[in-house]
Amino acid sequence: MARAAITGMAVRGVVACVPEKQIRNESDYPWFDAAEIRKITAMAGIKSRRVAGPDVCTSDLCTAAGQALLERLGWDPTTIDALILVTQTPDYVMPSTSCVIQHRLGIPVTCAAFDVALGCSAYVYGMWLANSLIASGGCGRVLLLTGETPSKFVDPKDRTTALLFGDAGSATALEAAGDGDDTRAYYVMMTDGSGGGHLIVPGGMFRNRFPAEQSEFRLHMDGVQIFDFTRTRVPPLIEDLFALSATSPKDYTYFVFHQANQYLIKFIASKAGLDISRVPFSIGEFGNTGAASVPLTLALAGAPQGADDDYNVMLLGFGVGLSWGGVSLRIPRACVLDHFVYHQQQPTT
Amino acid sequence: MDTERALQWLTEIFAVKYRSVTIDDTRDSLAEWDSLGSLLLLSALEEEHKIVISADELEAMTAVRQICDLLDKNHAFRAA
Repeated sequence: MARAAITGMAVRGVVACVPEKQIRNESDYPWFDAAEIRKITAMAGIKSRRVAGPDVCTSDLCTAAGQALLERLGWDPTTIDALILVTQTPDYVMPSTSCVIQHRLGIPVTCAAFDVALGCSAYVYGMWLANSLIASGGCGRVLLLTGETPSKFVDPKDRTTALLFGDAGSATALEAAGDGDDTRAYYVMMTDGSGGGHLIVPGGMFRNRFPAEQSEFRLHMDGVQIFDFTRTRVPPLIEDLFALSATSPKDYTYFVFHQANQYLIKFIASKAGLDISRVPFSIGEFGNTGAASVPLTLALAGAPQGADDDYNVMLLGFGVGLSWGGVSLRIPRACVLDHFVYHQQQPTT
Repeated sequence: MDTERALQWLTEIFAVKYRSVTIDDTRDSLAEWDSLGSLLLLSALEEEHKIVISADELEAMTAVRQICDLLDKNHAFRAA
């Protein structure tokens, strides 16, 4: 069972960015009638989304977030030992997008860089990997990037998915902790591949390289099965994390959920006995931003008002795979939490 | 159960246009009862009537009459 308590890593900063183009579901969307849109957006809680232009990819958003974060922290790129990118929308089939970003960020060749293909659970898995690398003693500083451009694989005429997804990128700075850091982090990760077909882009890779139907390049979602999976699997995950970390809801400043569906998050929070005022949301303004949704939501929430001490957060990811996981960890009060709008400079190759 | 109220509720849940849902409707006759319609129904059953069914149970339902039977069994839309 993938449950772990790992020490030795401190979170120094989280920066997220979104593209500048905003789509308001109720006024900017031509495919469905107003009543239909209101019904969908009320249930999912999504008023608007940000969508990348045709020349903007995951690497652009994550590189921008990474640059901003390194500048905010005053970290020299030459001090980064590993770069992890977790995404379902890499720039290319090959090479790994992490290698592209390593070069663009000016990180030296002595850095390990690799992609991980996960979406909704991306941030938790990325954090677990980074923590493990640091705890092993092999890496002093790790840059974790999670980002996605789901707008590029969603069918604008599919009622089930068209109004849900937004694009975003994020960067998180993680390093070996100093003596003063309280760093124990608790992870639970799980997988059920039997549900892989419930959220899938079936064409375009090597199983179905050149599908005859263009729709095979688009996202197919069985919303009922995903909804059922989430309400069944996430409450026990939260209970697991409370038990593993010997904590209770009152010990947390934030419970940051993957932003899949506002109604569902509120339902789960209520079922788990969480104070809803400690559950931040980004879905209303930015939609479901996939791999970037947890760091974007955390960055938007910002440090708690008047925080004069470190604080506990629980981060929860669940969805495509099916893959789900959570982490309970402590955020240093000096941790940078920031976000910005990405403005395209010029096309990149 | 007040079947008329239940059918009106289903008309709103499925966001059916130009007509009302009838007791004889099925998945085949009701275009709005697609994947999204099922999702809206699943969440509304839970949120508004505290009726929790699984995705597989919902998938097994093919007729509006079955939804009405479920609502009736759970004492929703009780006749005044």
